[in-house]
Parts: sequence; C-alpha cells; structure tokens
Amino acid sequence: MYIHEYQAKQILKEHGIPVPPGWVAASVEEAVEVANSLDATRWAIKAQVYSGGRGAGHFRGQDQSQGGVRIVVSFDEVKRAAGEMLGQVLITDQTGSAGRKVERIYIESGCDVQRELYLAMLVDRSSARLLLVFSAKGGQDIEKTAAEDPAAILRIPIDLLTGPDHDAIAAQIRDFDIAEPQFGQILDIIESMYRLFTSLDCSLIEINPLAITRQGEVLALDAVMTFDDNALFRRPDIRSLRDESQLPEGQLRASIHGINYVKLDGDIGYMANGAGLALATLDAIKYAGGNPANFLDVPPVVEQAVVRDAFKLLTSDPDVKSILVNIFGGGIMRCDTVADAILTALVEEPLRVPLVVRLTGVNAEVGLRRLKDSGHDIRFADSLTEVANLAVDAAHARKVDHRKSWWSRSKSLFGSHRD
Amino acid sequence: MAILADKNTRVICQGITGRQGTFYVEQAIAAGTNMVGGVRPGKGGKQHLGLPIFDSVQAARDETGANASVVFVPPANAAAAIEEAIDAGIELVVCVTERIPVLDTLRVKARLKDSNTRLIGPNCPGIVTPGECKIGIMPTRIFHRGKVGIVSRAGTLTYEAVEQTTQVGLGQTTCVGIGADPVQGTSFIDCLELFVADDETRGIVLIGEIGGSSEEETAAWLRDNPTSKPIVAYIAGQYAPEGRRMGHAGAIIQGGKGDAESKIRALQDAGVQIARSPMDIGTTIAAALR
Repeated sequence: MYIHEYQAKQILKEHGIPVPPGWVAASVEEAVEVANSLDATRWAIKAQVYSGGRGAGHFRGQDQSQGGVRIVVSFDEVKRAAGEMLGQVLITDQTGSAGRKVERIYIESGCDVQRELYLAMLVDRSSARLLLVFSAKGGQDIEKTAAEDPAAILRIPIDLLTGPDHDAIAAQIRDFDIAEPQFGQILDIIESMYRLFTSLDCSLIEINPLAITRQGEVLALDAVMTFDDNALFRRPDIRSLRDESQLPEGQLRASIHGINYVKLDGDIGYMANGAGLALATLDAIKYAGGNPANFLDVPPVVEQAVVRDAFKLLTSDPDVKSILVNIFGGGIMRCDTVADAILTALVEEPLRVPLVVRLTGVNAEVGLRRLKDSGHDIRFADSLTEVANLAVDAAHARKVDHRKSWWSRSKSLFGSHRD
Repeated sequence: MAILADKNTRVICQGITGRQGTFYVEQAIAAGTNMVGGVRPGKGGKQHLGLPIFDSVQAARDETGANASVVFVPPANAAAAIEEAIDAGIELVVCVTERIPVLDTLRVKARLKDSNTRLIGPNCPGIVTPGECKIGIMPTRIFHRGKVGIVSRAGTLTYEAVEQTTQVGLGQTTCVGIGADPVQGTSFIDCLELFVADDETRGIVLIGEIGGSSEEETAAWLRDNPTSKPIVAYIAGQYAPEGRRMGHAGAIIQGGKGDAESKIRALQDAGVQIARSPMDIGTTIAAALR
C-alpha cells in the first residue's frame, strides 16, 4: 500500500527522522496560510498524488514545462502554483494518459542543499533479508548512477533476528567522507528507519534526497513509503491512510474484493484464477494473435459474489469484444462456484459479446453442465490453446459483425424510405 | 524414487480442524498420503477425520513419529506455526497459507538456517508424488506417475504444467510448488539439485514468473552445474503490463533483472529450452525427451 508524501513525512518525523517544516493544503487559501506560517522566503509546492516522477510531469491542458513540484519565492507564486495544481490532473510517465487528480498539495520550507545523499530500506528477495541501500550520490539520477557506477551504491544486508550492525554500517559509510556531526546523525536516522520499517510493516522506505544543508542540517527532502498489504490486518492506523481517490475506478471496485485487476488497451476481456495462470492466459491470448482488454486474477474464494463482481468487470467494459474465462478449480474456489457466479452475473447484466469458457479441476463437470443447461450462448474449450484461439476468433469476428450489422441496418433504413 | 515426499513420509497437519485443513486432509488421505495426525491447540486427545489431534507439534511428533507437516494456519499465526514445527525438528514443512506478512517470513527464513527443517512455501500449492504422497492443495486427478519433475513458482499455473505433461503421456515423478511470495523457504535451485540426483526423473519442467531474480540465479547455478537431463522452462508474464513503480530502490537492486526477457535469455544461455507460449509446455518437454 502506497501513501502520500505528506503522510510519509509525518511518519518519519514521528520516528525522529528530520524533515523540513511543512504542511498539507487542500485549497489556495490554505496553501497561502501554510506558506505564511512557515518561517521561510522560499517554498517547495508539491502535488500529492500516487505517482513518482511528479517533477517531470505536467498538468492536463496546461503548459507542459510546469510539473508537479515547484520552487516559489513569493506568496503570489504560492497562490498561482496552488491554483494551477489543485483540482487538476497531473500526468507523469507512471500514471499514463489518465493521470491522477491532485486533491492536496504539500507546502514546505525551501532549504539550501549542499549535498544530496540516497537512503533506502527494502526487502531483498534473493538474500531473504532487509537491505539498507546508501549512496553519497543521491538525487534524481540515482538509477543512472547505479547502472554506471555500481561502487557508488552501498548495499548492506540486515538480519532480522539481530537488527542492524551499527559498527559495520558505520565502517562502510565512513568511506564517503561525511563529517561529524552529520555522520552520527545519519547513523541515527538509519537506526530509526529500521525501527520504523519493522514496527509498521513497511515494504519500502526511500529517502531521496537525504540532504545535508549549508546550515549543517540533515533532512529528508522527499520520501516514498509503501507498506506490506499482507500486514495491514495488524496496522489499522496505516490502512486508514489509504486515499481511494487515487485508485482508478475499476481497480478500486476490484480491490474491495481482493481482485487483482489492471485495465489494458485490447479487446479481449478475461479472467483466470491465480496470478501465474492469469499471466499465462495473457501470454496465450497474445500468442493466439489477440489483445487483452485487462489483466484479472480472481483470488481463491468461496463466495460467489466475488467471482460475479469480477466477471461483471468484464461485461461492463465497453472495449471488450469477447470474454474468456480460464479457471483451474481448486478446493476453495471450485468450478461450480464459478459457473453459478457467471450465471448470476448474466441475469444482472446480459451478455452482449461472445463468451468462451474453460473450466477444469475440482467440480468442472458440474460447473460445465450448469453453464450448458442455462441456454446462454457460451462456447466451451478443453485446453488453454483452444480457449485462447476461440476467444481471439470471436473478437475478430465481432469487429466484422459490427460493420455488417451497421450496413444491413442502414440498408433497411434506405429501403423503408423508398417504400 | 521421486523427491522430498513418498509413501514413507509421515505427515501431520497444523490447522487440521479448519475448513481448508479438513477439506485437503480428506483429499490427501484419499490420494494415499500417510497422514498420521493433526495439531490444534486445545483439542489434543480428540479425533478428526479418523486422525489423532495433538495440542502441539512436539506432542504429535513424539506420538506419531511424523517427519512432515502441512500448515493451513491463518496468516496472523502461520509464522508461529512454522516456528513451532522447526522447534519440534520436523524435517519437511509445507506452508500453504497465503498473505503472510513478509517480515514474518523473513524471521522464519532466518530461523531455518540453523535447523534441520526444509520449508516449502509459504503461499504454495505443495508437493505431489503421484500415487504415493500429496502434501498441500494440488488436484491429484490431473497427475500421472511418470518421468518429469516439475518445479513451479506459480499456483494454479503449476496445474497447467501437470496437466500438459500428463496429456503428452510423460507423467510426473514429483511436482513441487515452491510458492509465489517474494521470499520462499525452498528455491528453484534446491529442487533442481534434487531432481538432477533423482534417477527416476528424466526431464525437468520449471515454471517461473516475472519479478524477482530467482530464475536468473537458477540460470547462473545451471551454468556452474550443468546436467544432461533436459530442462524446459516457461516464464509467465512475457506480455504483462509494466507494474507501477514506487521509488528507485527496486530498480537499483534488480539491476535490469526481473522481466521475462531477462529470465528467458539467462535460462537459454544456461542450456534450458524455453516454451515461449504456455500452450507449448507439454509438447516442448516431450520433444526434448524423444
């Protein structure tokens, strides 16, 4: 789970990691008020959206050179920047053309940066440990630095049973020529970061840059913080920080049931159970010459309603020209549950495109029988190959059909005129 | 021969009285698994599905001589259940539970180091040696005893590989679903080592997925430890949309690994045959074994 920068900074502050003075605003008036309350002559105004690359982004319908992060030096400029951001849609290379609407901005005191460091903590899959990542060359080009100068990036594993090895970390960071007292402060920040990470079930904390100012302060100028979705059951305070306005509509509906749904730009709507099978089904559709309209992985559930809602994400998508269902029934989600869910969905929202179904595994016969007896126009497949080919053919035929029906309609219209 | 589990494996179930535990233990017994008991704190001394229930894993092990356990305990307590099995010296633990917090898994993983327990999972479908032993949730009907070893990082996609190897007439020695979580108790490499050493296993199917770098690590291991047994891999997600990225740290650590092309290239370089389409897994391993 992702949270906004202003929330991440609040959490950093609560855990003793220094951030510049700042506050969030939801209106132009509030923005000016916040700027006025900060003892500063320069302010950073930052759009609060669920996306990285905000600074390099642009607002829909506005000057392309003006991004979602701006440095301003007067109240007039605060006012203008706030007006241009709030309520507008910020498009970054991560949001796609849909962008994200800016409901809040963060205003913070500007500072004189002398040096930009990079500090992150995350779970390292391959070593199965936490990893502390540090670089003395922080800032926007950190990925380039990592690729071109790997020695500039420190990776220090942390054992969860023993915690961070203070001396070992100090010995490695010492090479980067950071003077006291900043050196000691950075070590303290790392300690705090570890406590924060483990006590709140984070999956990533990234501070980039961690700035050393001309006045000698060490400050987290930007912060990305994400949390382990699987641990939210024991972190209700974190869960309540989720901003649902930042999730695309279909995804939000899907996330309520734990359905893993991503909208794509093709015309074959499909669902499968299990992330791997859903990825493989997507590959199969592509290899059969088609284009998926979405990715949809239904979680293993007993409840018919979840599967019904997943299926309705497909039937309600206007881009969909054929629907493919690929289910390997297991002990929890059995094929008859899936069949019943499809039939319920079809009562609520009748089928307007061809439907191709492959059910295999637990209770497949029962499920298939119910679908066949329902009288709905459904085609059935025995294998992944067959289901993919049928769905792709149906979508292609549909495109031709559309033209034909329009043609025959217009012909009969002319005919009736003549009569 | 098969690997990891056979007719002599003595299996208990942690969380046997729950809905999932009950359903799958019944299936396991029907599949011929040597189920010897179950664990449910507070219900020791009772019976369930004709099996004795114990209050602790230690008691179950002492009484039944169990050497394997399957864990169906809900996410909040699953890590503690695995740790209990480690402490009791159970040699093989299969954790089916999904959605376990990753920090819990990391702690378990650290505990495994100085133990004699091997963990499969979490978030995995388990192990099947057809006709002998089923530990987990895989549907046994699609299996047929034969000569292919299957190791998979996916869940239901594993069954696709099983079904296809059955349909082409090869069958399986053992199928191991190692789990889809970022951190796993047992790796591809661990399973390949066992399959390579197993006489009955003539060829190996590996099912990978985008994300992480375990396929690349497997490829590196295979370059150092070549085998004459044909290995066929399918990597799911060749056409997956790019995931939303949060921050730079993931990219820095991954260093270009993680996408399907990187995995496919690495495995190909290590002599692995690639089934490009998921529809071709069975036919590719059949051709390789001809």
